[in-house]
Amino acid sequence: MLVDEDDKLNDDKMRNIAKKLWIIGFFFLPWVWLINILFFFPHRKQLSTDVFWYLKYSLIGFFVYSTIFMTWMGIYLVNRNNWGASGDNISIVIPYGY
Amino acid sequence: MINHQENDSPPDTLSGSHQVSNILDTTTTTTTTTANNETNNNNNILDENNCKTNNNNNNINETDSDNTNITNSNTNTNNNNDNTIPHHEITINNETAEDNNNTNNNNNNNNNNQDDYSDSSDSSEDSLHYERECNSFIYISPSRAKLENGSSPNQPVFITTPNSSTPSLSSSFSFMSGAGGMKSTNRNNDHSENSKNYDVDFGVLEYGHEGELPSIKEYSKAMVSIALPVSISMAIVISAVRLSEEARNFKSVSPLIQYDVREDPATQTLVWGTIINSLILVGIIFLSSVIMFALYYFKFMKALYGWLMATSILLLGVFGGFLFILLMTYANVGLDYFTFSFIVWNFSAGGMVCLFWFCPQYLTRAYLVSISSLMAIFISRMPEWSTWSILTIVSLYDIFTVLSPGGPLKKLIDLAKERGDEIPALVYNGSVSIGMASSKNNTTPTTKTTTNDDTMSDTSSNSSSSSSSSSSSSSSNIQKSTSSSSISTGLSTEPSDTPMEVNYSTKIQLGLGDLVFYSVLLGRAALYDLGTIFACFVAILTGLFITLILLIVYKKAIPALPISIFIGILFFFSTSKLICPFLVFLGENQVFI
Repeated sequence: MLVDEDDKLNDDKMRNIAKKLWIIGFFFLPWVWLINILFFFPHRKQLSTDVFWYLKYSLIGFFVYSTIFMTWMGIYLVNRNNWGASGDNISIVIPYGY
Repeated sequence: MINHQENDSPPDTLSGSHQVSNILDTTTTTTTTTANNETNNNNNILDENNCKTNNNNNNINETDSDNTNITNSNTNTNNNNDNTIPHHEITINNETAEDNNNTNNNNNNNNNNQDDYSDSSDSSEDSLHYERECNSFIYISPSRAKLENGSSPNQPVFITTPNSSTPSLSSSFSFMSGAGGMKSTNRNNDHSENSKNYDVDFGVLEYGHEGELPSIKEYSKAMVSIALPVSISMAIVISAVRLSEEARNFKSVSPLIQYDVREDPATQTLVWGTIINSLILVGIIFLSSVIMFALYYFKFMKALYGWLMATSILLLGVFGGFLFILLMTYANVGLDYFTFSFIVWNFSAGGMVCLFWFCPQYLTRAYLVSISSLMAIFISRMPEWSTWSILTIVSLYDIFTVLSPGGPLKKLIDLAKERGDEIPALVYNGSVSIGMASSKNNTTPTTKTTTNDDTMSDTSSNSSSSSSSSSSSSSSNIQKSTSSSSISTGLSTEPSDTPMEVNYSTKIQLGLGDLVFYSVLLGRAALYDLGTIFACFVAILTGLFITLILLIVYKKAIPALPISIFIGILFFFSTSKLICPFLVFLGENQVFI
């Protein structure tokens, strides 16, 4: 909405978009990095090297954040019971039964 | 409300007036367009006469296309730059461009067209955009097509993409298009970087009459494009409401509810309480529409977008987070603060990117549907009679605000139409483009129809036309008021054509408010048995289809709520109070009828 949907993408604009989305992604936003990749995926054969650089590191960053996140989620879900009260303190939803 | 707008753009002016039309598109007011139509009509005749010659030029260009392409591409880019010319220069550009149309631009366009073919044969990724737009329902007249094509298609011929023999109903509708027929064209979409304005100067298209209805296929595509998001959001709301047993108990009521009339009040309290509740909600909607109109009228665009973004991120974050906790509670899975905040932060911030900036279109649509269903889930947590009264009064308000001359939404739409803008609000764009055409002269069977729905919307060619309605410019957007409280729908149909391939781009815009209140009705029905749910589901879709028929007939913005809500309420009570007890009775007594 903030952009004209009519806009045509040229190299400068593509680089601008990729760079901004890449920067936004550093704020713990791997989903935005994934959006960056998904947005440029149909244009993957016409990307300039700059854009490709941003996309590559977006992908890497996405996997890094996702790995950290998944690891934490696994640790939490497995060990919450063992942590006792401290485990309950960081919980929003405490499952019944176990 | 649903809006349907006609572009004056005639398909006829194949020529370079297309660039002119782009200029008009973005900036015209109604007065300028009507004035231009008269001049353009004269050009139509010229264009029709020039069609043959243009074809000849095309053949010539095939031979020596190498040299000419360079120059033509330069001129073409210059023409594209004209799109950014501010408003007051339009008329000047018109004249100059029109002078150039019949001579230079035709040749240029032909050459560019040949470039398209070569490119398309190389890679399917090149999305070629034939961005001509014309009246929404265009038919190639068989006689004219016969002249141009050498073959007489009595029926429109689907253009096939080079890689697939299936009809290319090219659409950028990758997300919602469940239809398999659209699969082949998904790769064509997108914000194509190299979407130049290719104008093929070739056949003459004739508009249908003003009242001419679209063919079944077009109509059904438009149906699908709107019915899918409605169905999806209703399904989400139904499942969410049925998941949360809390909704039955109404532990927490919406803060907008003044009178809590859940437990068996006296009749007087029931009636007045529900009416006052619904009047409060309608008042809020009216107020937000007025504020939005004021912001837009005085061009406080940053405040407007800031408001929209704030409400969107709040809706996604708060309601989405609440629903997420609800789902995790239902699934009985532990959830810690870190995971929760990470997921909700990603969801809502990604929603900002997808709703307001560049993003794949299917993600935008997914977020629009999710916003409306989240809103509906939390509006539907109201006492029963308040829900019915709110639905009724909001429907009546929708009629007022869309159709009456003083309605804020109508004024907003008209203002945006004058400015040639797209109305800044959250509107679901369902657009379907249908390539209908006859291939020309048997040459280059690889005509790729690509429509970028996004690009189409704004590029409407206003140029010449014998167009049926003298309606104003272009980008018919409708829209509806906004974010959470908005109720409206806008529908616009925009057509686009390319001479070679006629692209119908039927653009239908449905305001998110309509999605919300459809879903509210279903969310209320979800508390009852399955028969009631399906009856209401079918009733809502039926009302939506009736509204679409009215849209096509009247060709202006139409409120989408009243018919659907009326039929939905009717079917809800008849099913839940009559049919279901009757069926239960029959089942219990082993009566077979």
